[in-house]
Amino acid sequence: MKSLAIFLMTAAAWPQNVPYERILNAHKEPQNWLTYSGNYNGQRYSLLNQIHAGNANKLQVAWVHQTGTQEAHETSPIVVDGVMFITEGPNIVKSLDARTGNVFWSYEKKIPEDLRLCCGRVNRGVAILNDLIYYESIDAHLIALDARTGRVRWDVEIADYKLGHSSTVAPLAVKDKIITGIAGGEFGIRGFVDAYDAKTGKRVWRTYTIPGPGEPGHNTWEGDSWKTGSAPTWVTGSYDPETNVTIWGTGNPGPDWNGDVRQGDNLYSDSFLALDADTGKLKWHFQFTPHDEHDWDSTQVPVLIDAAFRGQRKKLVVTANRNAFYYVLDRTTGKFLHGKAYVKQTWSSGLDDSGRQMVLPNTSPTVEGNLVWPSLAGGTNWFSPSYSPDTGLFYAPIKEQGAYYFKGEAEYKPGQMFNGGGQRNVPDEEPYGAIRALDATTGNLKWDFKLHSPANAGVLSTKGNVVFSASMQDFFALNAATGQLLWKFKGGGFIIANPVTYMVGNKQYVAIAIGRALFVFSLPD
Amino acid sequence: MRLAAVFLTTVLAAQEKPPEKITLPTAEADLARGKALYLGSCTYCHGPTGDGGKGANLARPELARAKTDGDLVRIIETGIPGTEMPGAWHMVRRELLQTAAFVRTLGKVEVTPVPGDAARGKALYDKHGCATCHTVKQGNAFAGGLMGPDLSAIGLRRSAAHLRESLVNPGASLPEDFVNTVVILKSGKTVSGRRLGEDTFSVLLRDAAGNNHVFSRSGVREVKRIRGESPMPSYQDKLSASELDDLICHLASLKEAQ
Repeated sequence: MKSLAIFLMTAAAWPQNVPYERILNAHKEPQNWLTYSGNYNGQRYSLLNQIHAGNANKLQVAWVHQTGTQEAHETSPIVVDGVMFITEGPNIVKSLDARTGNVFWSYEKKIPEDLRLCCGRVNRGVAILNDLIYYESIDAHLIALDARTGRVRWDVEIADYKLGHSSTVAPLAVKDKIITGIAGGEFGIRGFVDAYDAKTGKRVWRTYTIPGPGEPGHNTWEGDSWKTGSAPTWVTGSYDPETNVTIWGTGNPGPDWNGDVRQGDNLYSDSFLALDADTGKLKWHFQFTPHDEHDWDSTQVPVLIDAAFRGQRKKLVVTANRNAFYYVLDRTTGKFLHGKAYVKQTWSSGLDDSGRQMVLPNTSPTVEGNLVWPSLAGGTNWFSPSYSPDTGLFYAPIKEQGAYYFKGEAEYKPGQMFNGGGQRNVPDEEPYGAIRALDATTGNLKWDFKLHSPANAGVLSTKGNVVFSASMQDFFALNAATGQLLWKFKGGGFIIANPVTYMVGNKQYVAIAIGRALFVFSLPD
Repeated sequence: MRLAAVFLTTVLAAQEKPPEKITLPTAEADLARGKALYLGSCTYCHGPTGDGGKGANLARPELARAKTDGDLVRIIETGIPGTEMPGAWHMVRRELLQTAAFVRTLGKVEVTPVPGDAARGKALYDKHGCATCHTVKQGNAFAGGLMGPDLSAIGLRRSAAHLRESLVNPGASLPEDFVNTVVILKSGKTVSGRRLGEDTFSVLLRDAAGNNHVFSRSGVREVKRIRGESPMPSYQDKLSASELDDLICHLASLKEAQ
């Protein structure tokens, strides 16, 4: 009888069943973090408020998980009913007790030795649907693992790593499908978004981010350049259940810095694509940087908000783009509503009525080097911004930095780097960063918390009027309304990850990867 | 892509590569392209004619760190860890070879001997107390102060012209780590020295006496980076023209590999 009671208790801690409806209604269970951004709307906002602006200064370490790998960690944990799921570069998925940090299971994917990557063997996290964990491995496989044991249910190849494909993105679970992105923008891949049957791993649809012959937009590529035009999809998209549309950002056109070999606007690179979640059919697109020559991927998480825009309630998608501009779009049509620069930029005189950049002359990379702000790292980058419906503010982790851009040769060889140039830092410039709070519908600056160096970590905002983010080795909390510093913690390793929050029992936790470890904080008992 | 990560990956990947035999291109078009690439990516440190400056003097027949063409290509591709030499990861293979080929042409010049007497220069180095701030490796030990850059291999890393400029006008080109930093506290107190580290919440400084300080940003009014100004005095008026030659000759002879 006693053993049965223990069994029941244990089983109770293991429901691990997350049907689509739970993710759809994630706001009804703020104790959990069920999808990459916490919610389908990409806001990275939590309704938890046990930790608030009045007590955040008392935060302390609850537990630490040392990973044992040498890779930098970009993981954004998933937490379900007291169980956490994280990834560790280059090839590990783990399940931990979210209250103590004890490890339930660890899965390791064997990866080929001849893998070529542009930017480190990183991974940003998993997705959960029903009783399975979904993981995109660095060699571009999609793998379904049993949430209780870590055992492989199925493993399918998304694309051939030998051609430069790789995966670093957390997949997105929608209805009965797993939607995936792809990386490889520096290897001349042809980007796409895929959807797989969650039960079997069978591919249900693929939508290329570069239109093929006969499709609208194909003529924005010169000759055969569309075949190696990149436009990868390496950060998780958002989902709008009302319109059944999933919105994904696309990356740079390839080669990155030499646009001579791909004349035209190069659709749909550096764009938001709104795809029907059932069929992958393109509903609308908006391109932020036509014919990009500065590697300004537009893979930032699309943030879906419902707000009054010029007096009218609107369904919006907003983003701080790597090209230095903040954009407000109508997410039902993709129509441009408003935009303005949020960091220093020297390449555009502004946006026209359609939201198209009015590019200044002599801003392209040259063989000798051409000075342009922002740098190729952009005004911001892949790490998540946050939006708080309480304050109406969009919190952008930003970079103030310029660069000399070089144009080099661009010669496509399958599986080889195909970037056509590079950049050099500006001598004597002291680049810096900030957490910049923008009015979400106007892009006007509300407050600015200056960082010593350009931001490299994401932002979490909460109902407790707190914003969490990081700078170099410091994790910190700010007052969401004012930007005032509430608390800081030096983690002793560089932070290039997104924070999440969750609750187990009656205690709220905040988690962030620091260096080669995962740190979890809570208030004292 | 993310720049730092790219650099790291390239370096790691490069360390695993076996030594390679390489034939550099000789066609005029390749050398012209190599020159353009060199002017874009390398001149800021190595100078347009390769005679150095901030970077090593490349206008010499043999390069200490790149005796073979394979070494040269590898260094251009991956940089030299622990130094200011970054990797040119943005270049494709052919461009690396073209750049290396052009760098080799820079060495086909008559080497200008550094005038002066190194032994007399060493005596001047000691007499003027250079070791108060600078270290030179002697055998297995390091001797000297920490306020200035380590000079153990300065003869490999700086041209004679650059050494001269550094003695005459020390503020003209300071390594980033040695830019004089002044921390002005809210209390009014001022501390200056070499910046050891700085982040959003703190500033670390080593003062002229060698003491390490850590300041919380909340107590700091301002952090000034004094560019164009060095804690080192100019030796233009302290040394005669021939003494200056002797001291430069001595510094140019310091080639202890680190």
